[in-house]
Amino acid sequence: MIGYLLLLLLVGVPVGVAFSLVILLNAEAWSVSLDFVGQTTLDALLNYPFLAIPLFILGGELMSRGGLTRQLVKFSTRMLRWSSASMGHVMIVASALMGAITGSSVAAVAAIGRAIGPEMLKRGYKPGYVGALNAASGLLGVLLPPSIPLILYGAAVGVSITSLFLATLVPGLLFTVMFMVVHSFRARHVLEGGKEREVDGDHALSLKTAKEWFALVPALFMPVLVLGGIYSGVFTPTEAAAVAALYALFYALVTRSESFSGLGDGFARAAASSAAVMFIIGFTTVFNRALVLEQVPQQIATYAVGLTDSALVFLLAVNLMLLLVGMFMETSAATLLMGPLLAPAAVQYGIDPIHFGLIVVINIEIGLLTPPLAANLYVAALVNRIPLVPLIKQLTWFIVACLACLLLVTYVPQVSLWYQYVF
Amino acid sequence: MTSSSVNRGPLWLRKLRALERKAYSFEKFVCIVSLVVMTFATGYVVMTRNLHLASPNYGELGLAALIPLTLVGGAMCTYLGSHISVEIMQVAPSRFLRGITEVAAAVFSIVFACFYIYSGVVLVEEFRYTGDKLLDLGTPLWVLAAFFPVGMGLMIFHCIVRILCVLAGVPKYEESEVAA
Repeated sequence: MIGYLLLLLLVGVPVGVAFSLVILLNAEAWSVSLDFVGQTTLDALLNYPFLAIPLFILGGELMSRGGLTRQLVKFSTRMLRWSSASMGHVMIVASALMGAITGSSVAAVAAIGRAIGPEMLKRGYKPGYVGALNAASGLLGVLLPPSIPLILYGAAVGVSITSLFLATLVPGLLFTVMFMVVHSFRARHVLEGGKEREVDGDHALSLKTAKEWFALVPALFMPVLVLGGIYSGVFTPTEAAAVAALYALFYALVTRSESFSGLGDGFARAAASSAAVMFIIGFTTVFNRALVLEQVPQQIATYAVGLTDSALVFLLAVNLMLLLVGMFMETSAATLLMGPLLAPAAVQYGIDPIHFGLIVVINIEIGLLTPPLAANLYVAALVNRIPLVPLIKQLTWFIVACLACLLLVTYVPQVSLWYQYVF
Repeated sequence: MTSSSVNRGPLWLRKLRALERKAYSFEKFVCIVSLVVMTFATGYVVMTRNLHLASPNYGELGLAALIPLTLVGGAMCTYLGSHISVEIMQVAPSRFLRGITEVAAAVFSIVFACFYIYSGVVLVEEFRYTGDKLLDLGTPLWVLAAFFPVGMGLMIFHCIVRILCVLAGVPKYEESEVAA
């Protein structure tokens, strides 16, 4: 089956189609009824947490079009202008702020790259480095709550999504700090003359008048609204996504920062992106269901426990495997497949499924930086108009930083389970 | 699709592509309406619950809207070439190899869609017979299941046009369109 699957994927068959087709073409062997495969997909899609995915994607799109992203960038620029090589730090912090609203890595790369990439280039950063920093800091879009892959993991494995969001807060901040440290060390080497070039005149990111400062309030209120709403219990993560989208829409309409046709385009783009992700969710379920019917997750658990008693060795093996999976599979599909497949084994080793969820998602997210399937990399190259080779060269430092953080999250459970000690 | 893209190839193919363009407009409309419904329905639920207003759970409409977004949206992704896939072969140096794999991917997608059209029709009949509904507003499940044959039928149509375009040596997309 794996051979057929790889062949289909290699030919360029959409991921959702490929995973479904390998089961459908051999339905009897997998005890799957062709009459009711549609029912499996329907059951999977009629799942309330999944509603958050198109809504967060829409929210991100409307934020970019309505100017909220720009305001976040202005705020980050103002707050970090004291630091040396400040524009790189701005890119990291703005990506983190964007992540605290949209929960999507690729969306953060596209939105922040468009806004800050040209400013970094003006200040003398090497183009490859701009793309690398953009791609890496895009990971914060997912590693800080809310997070679409964590919603998928929570729904597929059956653990609390709010707990997952709480758990990822510290690892997300850890990644943010780590990227800032790497940037501080690397900045001298990637800047012409070793420091940022002065940019003359009143550039677009300046904040001078009280009116300009006041204009920041709606943008800064957005993460407060989304995260505050979730953690205070006013709304669920799914509802938070709808509130974020409505807020961004309301802002765009009130400030008239985007025309009606522009907003329509925003909805169309969000619809296309959402459909691509939902298609995978709906149709990989058939594959998952077949594996569950054949008790494959249980077999993996039994096999793993038979190989080693050590949870540390198991986690090391899981990390290596998931890093590899992340290189070849799209995030949503990989999370939906590997989460339910490996979580039962992790539980047998006494690993908390929330902690394990973070390990799964971080590994797969690092895959967004590692070719061949490296969405962040490609989007960063596209948005910043940079060739891939110099970008990949500069990325190595950030991948090493990611791996260091991953090891910390994996082997120090308190990093992700901190909330159990605090609350 | 820009006019330069539509106006290439023989007349019958141009007419077919114009028809495909109309199908795409329909798919886009359905997906945008689905997004609007799920946004406002979920927002309405938050409002009514926090203001303690007595109101049915309209969130069900948002949930139901996921089905057309996924199934009709899947067809739209086929048209736009925006499905998530491993795009190794699309950067192959040989044009012949690219064409072969594109046709193969389209054929596999057609086979897949046929399975789901069959299953969707079975489901529609089953749900009409049993009268199964969603719990809160009573949205009939057969209506949702009907999006299987609709979405998959559109997907097959786009795949056939793609195959014909490859065979006729006509590029399927303009770059600007895919980027959009």
